[in-house]
Amino acid sequence: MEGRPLDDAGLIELAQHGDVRAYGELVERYREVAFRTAYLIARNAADAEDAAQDAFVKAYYALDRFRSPEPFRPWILRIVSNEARNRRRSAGRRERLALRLSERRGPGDAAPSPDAAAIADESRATLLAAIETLPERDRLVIGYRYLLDLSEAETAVALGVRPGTVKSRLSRALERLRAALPAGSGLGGGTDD
Amino acid sequence: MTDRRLTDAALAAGIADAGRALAYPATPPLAAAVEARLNAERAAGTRPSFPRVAIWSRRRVLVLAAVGLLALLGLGFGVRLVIGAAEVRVVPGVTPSGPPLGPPNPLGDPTTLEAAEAAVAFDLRLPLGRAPDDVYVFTNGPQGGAGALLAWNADRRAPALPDTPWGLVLLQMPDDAESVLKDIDRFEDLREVEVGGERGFWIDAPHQLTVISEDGARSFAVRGNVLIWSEHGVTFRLETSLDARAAIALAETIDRAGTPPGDAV
Repeated sequence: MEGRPLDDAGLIELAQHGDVRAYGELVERYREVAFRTAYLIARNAADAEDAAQDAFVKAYYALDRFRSPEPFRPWILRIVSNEARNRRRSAGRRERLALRLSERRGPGDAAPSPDAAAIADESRATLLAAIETLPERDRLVIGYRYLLDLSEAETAVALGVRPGTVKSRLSRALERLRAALPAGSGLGGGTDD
Repeated sequence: MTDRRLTDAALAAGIADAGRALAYPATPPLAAAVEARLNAERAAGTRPSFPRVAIWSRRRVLVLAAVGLLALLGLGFGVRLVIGAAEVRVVPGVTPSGPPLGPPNPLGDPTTLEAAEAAVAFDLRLPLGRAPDDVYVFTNGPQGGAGALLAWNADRRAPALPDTPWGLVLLQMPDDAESVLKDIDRFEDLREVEVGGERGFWIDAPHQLTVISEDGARSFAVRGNVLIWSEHGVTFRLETSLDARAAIALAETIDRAGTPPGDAV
């Protein structure tokens, strides 16, 4: 493992031949997005950690079914998502996820886009609260695409649907989110009337 | 009213901006934990020491011949054959138990063909003939992703399967779903066949079917004949009362481009 870092394909090939350390390197690369994905679904940190860890272990034993030219990230996120959903379902819990904003942005964080700049910090909290009221299908597609910043193709793989389905689901989810926003919030919420 | 409301792009940008500012819990050191578990399982011998390597597709003829020889020699250990999402295990003495796969014990949630096509991540494909009478969508485990069950009521071309009104059941699921287990009593119950040039298995003896879905594992006693094959990343399982030749001929009418089926059965 010395010298130039291996790319994902190189690490996967080593892992497929039983190199656990190489697989650990792969886990290190994707642990943050995997944990955050699990957190959005499992809705508490402990379950998210367990789900992400179990998913990485299961993925290791399923590496023979991973098709090398495909990116690893959406593949592992799909396993993480399923693990987190199963865990939440079997636990029978209906915890409310409190998505909170950081108190301050890090120095390396990107500046908001012009569109986003129109939304005040208070409105961001309102937006996150409204996302929480949506059905799981809507929350997941919005969460993967915008909160986790996956591409449409990655979102499709992670959700196990076609790319075209991501577009239509997003469109419907945004429409429902718009309707869920409180009128007068400055976010253009409420229903047309 | 549109001008008073955020466009999709503006709303998406706002969500993405909020996402960058989200306070997630600290990410735990998963790599160390995963490595420790894998090493512990390796040491304990509870799991294979490395991922299963898909040798079946590369060396299937030799492997099948060797497995067949072992079976003929009467060596009584479990034999496993993998094709796409399906794994066939030779389990001497297995007695099929559970209901048949059919009403009132289907798989997944009933839906329409259009909704099923939207739910799965691949093009659903249909054999020549009329549209299916029943459609269900299920979510595979552990890797997720939807699969579909299409069923046709029995008719003169597809006699009823034992204990169900269906004459034809076609499961379709992604190859990486690892969702179907079939336990057969004897290696001789299995035949390797070709479906449109692709390798397949034909099972014409009662056997046990276990489907691992998001809702857990469900077992079915299968008394129909079953053809399994994989094409373009999708595993197909066709259950029918037809014999092997007729079943393969039917399977080979399955459209190759996701086009609608013809009108006449």
